[in-house]
Amino acid sequence: MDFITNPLNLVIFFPLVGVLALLFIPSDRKNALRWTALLASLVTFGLSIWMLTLFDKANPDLQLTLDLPWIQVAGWNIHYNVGIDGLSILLVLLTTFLTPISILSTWTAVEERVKDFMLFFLLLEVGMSGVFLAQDLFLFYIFWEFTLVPMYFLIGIWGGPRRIYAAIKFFLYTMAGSILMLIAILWLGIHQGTFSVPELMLKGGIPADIQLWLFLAFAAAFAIKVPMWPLHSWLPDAHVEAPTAGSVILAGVLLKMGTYGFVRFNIPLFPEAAVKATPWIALLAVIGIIYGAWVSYAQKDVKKLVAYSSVSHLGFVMLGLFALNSQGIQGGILQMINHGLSTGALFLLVGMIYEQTHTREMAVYGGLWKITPVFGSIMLIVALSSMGLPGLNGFVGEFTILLGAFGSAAIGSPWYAGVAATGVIMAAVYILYMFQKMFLGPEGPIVGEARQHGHPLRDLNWREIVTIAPLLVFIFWIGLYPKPFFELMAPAVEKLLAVLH
Amino acid sequence: MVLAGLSLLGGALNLPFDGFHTLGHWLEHTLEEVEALPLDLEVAGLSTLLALLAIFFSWLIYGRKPLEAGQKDPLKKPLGFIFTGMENKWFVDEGYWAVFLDRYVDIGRFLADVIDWRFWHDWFHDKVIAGTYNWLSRTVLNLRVDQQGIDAFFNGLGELTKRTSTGLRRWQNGFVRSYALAVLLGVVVILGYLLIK
Repeated sequence: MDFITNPLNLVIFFPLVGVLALLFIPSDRKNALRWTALLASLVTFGLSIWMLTLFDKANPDLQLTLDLPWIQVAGWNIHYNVGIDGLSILLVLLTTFLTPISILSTWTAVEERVKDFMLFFLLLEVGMSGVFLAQDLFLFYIFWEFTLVPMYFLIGIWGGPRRIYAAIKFFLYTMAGSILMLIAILWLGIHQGTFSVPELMLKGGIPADIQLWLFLAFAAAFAIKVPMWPLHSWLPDAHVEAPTAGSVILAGVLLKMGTYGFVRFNIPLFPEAAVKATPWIALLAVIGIIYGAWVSYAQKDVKKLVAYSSVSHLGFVMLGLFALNSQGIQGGILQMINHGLSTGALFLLVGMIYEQTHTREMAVYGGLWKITPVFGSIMLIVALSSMGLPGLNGFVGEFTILLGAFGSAAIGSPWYAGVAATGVIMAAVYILYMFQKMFLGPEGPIVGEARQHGHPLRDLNWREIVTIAPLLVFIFWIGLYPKPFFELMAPAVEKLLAVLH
Repeated sequence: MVLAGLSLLGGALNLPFDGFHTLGHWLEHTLEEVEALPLDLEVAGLSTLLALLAIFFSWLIYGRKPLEAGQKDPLKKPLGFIFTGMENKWFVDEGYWAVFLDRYVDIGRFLADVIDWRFWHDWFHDKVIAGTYNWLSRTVLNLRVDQQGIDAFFNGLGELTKRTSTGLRRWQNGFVRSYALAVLLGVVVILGYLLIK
């Protein structure tokens, strides 16, 4: 009974109710399928809000926990253990928030095999929530690998022309890192006698040289997922080929599983190794920031531009997390949310225009703002949020991260933050360049072409506005009043820092 | 006009009086403490004075008698090359483009096309990693080791057996007289051995 009534379990597994319902709906009743999936994801979001009301933000420990013995064979002690704290609550909410938005974005974009699409999408949500809530390494690993399967099919079936290549690359690349993590998990299970994360944290006492190897094994899995430079090569392929909703979830949530892994496992479980590795991670993060921004600017495909911008933005997140101080980690976690909102919105908007024109070549666009004023204005807000304009969400996150990195004892030099700060300007360069190319200036050739074919470009319709509006609310909310968001995570971050000292 | 309005608002937000100074308070959460700077009369006063003077002079020159389209600017003659320079913003934009922005674009393209795509994506990942794996799988293991190695060895064994049996078949011809001859030869050999010994 505990298992079913636990709020966290309800959040994780409610989408399965939707999956079950979908199975009974005939495949050709597309709208019924869409509404069912949307409803299931909305109820899941509602459940996560209920979970938020039960959450005590002053308490730094894991809450709403459920710990049941699961697989216990020959001294192996695997538990079904879930719990939530300030490090994960925002990410769970981001997951349940972005899923209905993504489903709504597929209303007219996905016309083939709607049933399968929705099934995979809801299964993906189960995996993602599970990743953020699992407190047993074995259980975590199951959810972690499980997310690969639906995403593999989402890219491989509903993707672009090179979808099979992209899907296989995504799967293999991620899995290669995960296997190293699995070996490290097995080592911990054998030598420490438990897979439970809180117990492992209490136990500690792993020799420094072994810590470093375990740290690296976990980091391999997470760094690929983030992706940290230079392990980003799967990302542009996956993003360009994935359908819009897949890109939104990929950028919005799946990449955060990597950065989350660093905060949840790497830093608290192997604190000495984390401190030792910090300058190197900070270096890779800064390279990623600059490199991602520079490469973004040279892209001709707008989706690829947004994909590379993720490499840059996630570099900021990593720099913040490995500042190993309160400002850095809080900024890093907030920036994970910000990136999910802004980049998610960017992918949605790109998808909306792609649905009409079937091209992502920036060169054929131009002068869109005049023709589609609502679309243009929303794009401008999202673009400004992504480049960190004060008053919008990106600024708060990046500013806090840079502040943390600047004064970080672990990183050891303010130069990292100094160089990273130029990344903010470079972000403005590629984002404004994209906006100028597509929305300002004379009409691009695609505009006339669409008119000739009798389908002149139209502005956003109501469904599209409803899809994007919730993101805009949070873009402004976090930008203008981030305090409630920081308050949710602050005690847990302080507790994490206490482990380091 | 919009910019002018916004800058008024922006300035007003942080007026150094109680109740204003909103920006300072807004950043308090992250900055922890913000010094409330006193109003620096010298800096603020001087710049205001200069701005007012400039407004007055420009009103003297342009404000009373607006320029007709195509009419020469009254300042062009007395200022000479300074005017030409100012009119072209001292070619700062052009210089800036040539020195910094073009280089920025070049490096961006180089990183994106050569380093990230051709070297890292196409060569290292597709050719080296995936290519090596394919080569090991198809050429080394499947062709050389499996087909030309292990398979060939066992096929060779089969071939050997086949040839041996073809050779032996000549002896097994089913004629009783040949078998009797063989028995006779054997008897002769054994008897001969026994006799000589």
